[in-house]
Amino acid sequence: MYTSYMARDLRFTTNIAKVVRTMLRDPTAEYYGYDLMRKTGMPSGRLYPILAQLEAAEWIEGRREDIDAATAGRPPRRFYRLTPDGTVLARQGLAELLAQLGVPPLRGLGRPEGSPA
Amino acid sequence: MKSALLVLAAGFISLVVLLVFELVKAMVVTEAQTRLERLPLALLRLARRRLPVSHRTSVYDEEWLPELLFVTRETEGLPITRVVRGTSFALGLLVSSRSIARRLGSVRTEREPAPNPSGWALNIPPPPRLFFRIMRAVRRPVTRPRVDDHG
Repeated sequence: MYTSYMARDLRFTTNIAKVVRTMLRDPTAEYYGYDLMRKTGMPSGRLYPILAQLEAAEWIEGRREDIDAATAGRPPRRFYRLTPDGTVLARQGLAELLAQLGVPPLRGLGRPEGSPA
Repeated sequence: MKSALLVLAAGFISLVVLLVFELVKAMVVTEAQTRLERLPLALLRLARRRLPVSHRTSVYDEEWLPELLFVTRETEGLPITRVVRGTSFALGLLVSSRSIARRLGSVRTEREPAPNPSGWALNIPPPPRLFFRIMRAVRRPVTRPRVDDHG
């Protein structure tokens, strides 16, 4: 079973933590669903509901690639990016989750805003 | 002389049988390969049908289908990997399609024109709508015009 608690209107589960942690490694980067599946090791049936949940909560925003389908030879894919608010909330959520578990803060994810120095 | 002819005939018949067998074998392999290659898209289309109409364009046309095509392109020349990855991708979405739509709620419900017609690059014919239309028409009870005997 997973540890969970409420982070605003989002139930912050370990699966959500796994996704946002991957995205927080480079908060400005664009992530495709299939790439996130690979990076998190999650199957599509688990990852896409989480992406839907994060998008509905406005932690991430989805956009379509700006490519010419005829030139690229494939349709434009949809990518996701953390929103500024989502970045803050994700960092806070991760920090709180780790604190609950008694794990020291992770490197490279930055300090959540509002946390003690 | 007679036995030599018989041997020749038997040899010829065996050759024909062998050729037919090889042809049928090749056809079976091609049939199985084609059907397996279509499996991921068929599963994804099923997943699409499980989505509410309001989410079909934004979720299936704009996200799932391009991702599946990316998976299949990435594994070109590796038919087994292609089928395994494509099927597991589509199967996962088939199972979770309702949950995805529920979680999205009112997000991405706008109906935008699809970027591509279905069957992108996979050369898969669109679903036989005409067939279903015909079947529906056949099943529909026939309403005979009422004949008024008195008028």
